[in-house]
Amino acid sequence: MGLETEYAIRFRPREGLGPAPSRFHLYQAVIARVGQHVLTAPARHFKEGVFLANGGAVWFEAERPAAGGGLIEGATPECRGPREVLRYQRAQDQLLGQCAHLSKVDGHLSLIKNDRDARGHVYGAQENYEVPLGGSWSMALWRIGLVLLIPVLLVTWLGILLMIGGILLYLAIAGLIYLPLQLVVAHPRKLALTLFGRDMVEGKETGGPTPIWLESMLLWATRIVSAPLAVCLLALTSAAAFRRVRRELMPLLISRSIVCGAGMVDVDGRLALADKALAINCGVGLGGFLKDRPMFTMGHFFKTMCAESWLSPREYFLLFWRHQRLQIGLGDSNMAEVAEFLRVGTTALVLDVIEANALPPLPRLSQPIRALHQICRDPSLNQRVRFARGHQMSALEIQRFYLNACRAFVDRQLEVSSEAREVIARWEEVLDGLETYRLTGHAPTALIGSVDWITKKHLLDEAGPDLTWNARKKIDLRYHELSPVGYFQMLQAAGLAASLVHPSDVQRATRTPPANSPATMRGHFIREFSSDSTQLSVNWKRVLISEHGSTRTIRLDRYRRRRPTDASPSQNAASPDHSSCDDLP
Amino acid sequence: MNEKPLVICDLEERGATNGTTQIDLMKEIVAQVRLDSQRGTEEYLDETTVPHGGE
Repeated sequence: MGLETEYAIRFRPREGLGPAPSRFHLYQAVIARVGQHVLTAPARHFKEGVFLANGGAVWFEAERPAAGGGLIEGATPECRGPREVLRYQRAQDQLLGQCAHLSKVDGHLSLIKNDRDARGHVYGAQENYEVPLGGSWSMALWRIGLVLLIPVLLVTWLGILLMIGGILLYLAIAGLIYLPLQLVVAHPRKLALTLFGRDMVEGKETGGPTPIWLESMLLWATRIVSAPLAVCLLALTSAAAFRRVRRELMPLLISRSIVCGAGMVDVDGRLALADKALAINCGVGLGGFLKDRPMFTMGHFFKTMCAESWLSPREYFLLFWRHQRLQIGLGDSNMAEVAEFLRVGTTALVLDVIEANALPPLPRLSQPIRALHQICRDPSLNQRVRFARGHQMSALEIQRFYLNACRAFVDRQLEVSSEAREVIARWEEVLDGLETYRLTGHAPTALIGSVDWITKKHLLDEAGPDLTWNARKKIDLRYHELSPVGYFQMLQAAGLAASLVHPSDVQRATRTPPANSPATMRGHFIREFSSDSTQLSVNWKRVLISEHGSTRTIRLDRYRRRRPTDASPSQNAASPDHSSCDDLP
Repeated sequence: MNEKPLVICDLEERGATNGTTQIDLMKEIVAQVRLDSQRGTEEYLDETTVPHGGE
């Protein structure tokens, strides 16, 4: 399991200086600083990024870089349990937050770990869990679908090749136009920027690989070219991928905002429980490709088909495996450690219960998206949502249903990790606190600094009812700033936020990968081979070492499904670390 | 904005740090937050804008 987190970049230029540099430039400044703290290796991937010695990665995430878009995305290494995820997430937050603060730029740079800006642009967090894609019928349908998709994929690739050819042809024509025109126009640089984009004019990567107008055209052209594949894949994933898991997990996801929602001041100034949930508009989707923002994101399958299989056709055949990545797009970036621990811990535990076919029957939600939005818009926690056959339940009742199911499941196991029991104990404690708050309006202190939306609500309420919308929104946003003036960090420094990981463990996690994971090998090779004489490039599945004219490829997927123990699923969900460095080559 | 304000029921029970109670610390932070939230607010909202969003 692992987390991906998109951080907004906040930059304030020093007074008297010109406009802010591009977000790509700021990303590069942060990465340069990261490279001074930990060993890194360039990513061999379809987007700009580096892998860290702990096996995690940092990316420049931008669909429209030339038009000013761009976020810094951090990805934890592949972990074995929620505590490990929390440790690596904290290490990532700390490393990137400090490196942004210390980076060499003409102004103040900081990162915001949230999910939505003041203008309503959404980004944020995704969770990844490795789970079986389906039973025998679903797997058969999935595999047949993958075979049938191959011709569609080949047509898509042909379209992409034609686009590349079109770009080269355009550059040749633009060059022929530019050469005579530059002699007669008043601003040849402006003409060059319009025709070629900033990268080519400045002769280096600036984050503007094409002119803005061409970027827009290419974006639409890519969508049109890959639309048949996208539609077919969406139909296939809806029909075959994680069907039972999605059905049984969905009520947990739509109700968990009460436990791990980050809180958000909406356009009317009211506090919603979660930042990202109100932007969710479908159950399954590719994650933005079709203007969708789904609970379950299948975009990684699309990327594997379109991009990774292009680089290595074997990637396509890995999609035939039973265990695949389940990506959850519905969830907030948490500042509170308890909330982050419970977000991953409860989901992993429920996935174990589902995998063991041990979840008691629960009616289907009548309208999941509507129910999600209803719950998020009700900080009183009284809202009840409708299930099939006339059932109605509040978010607290749904959460208790899952808590009881997990507790019964864990109690039936012969061997259970202490971490699984910790998830259940903390989950119950938070739900009890929220029940007290629902009944009395008084929140127990334990919720402050443990549940983000409660903490944010307390700050907003105490700051006063007379604040303008802008001031309330600033409180909403600055709560998430990764700097000493970030409001959550102020609470943490004052000892008003519960901490679940020791600072020394967080420090160690910035440099050392988790055990018994593909990240163990990745981190090992980065530490051993990131010297000047060796060309090292890394991605999630491979390490490539080029030395003395030859390239050696080390595949990491053989480490993917090895588990510390096969004793029980609940141990997999919340297992202690097991060293695996003995099997390094 | 007709939400009921949230009340913390047992803040002082968390003990004291260097002679300062937890409730004192919270009040101090709330005062800072209130002050800061009204300074340079428009600029802050602009600086934290993410054109085109993300995933």
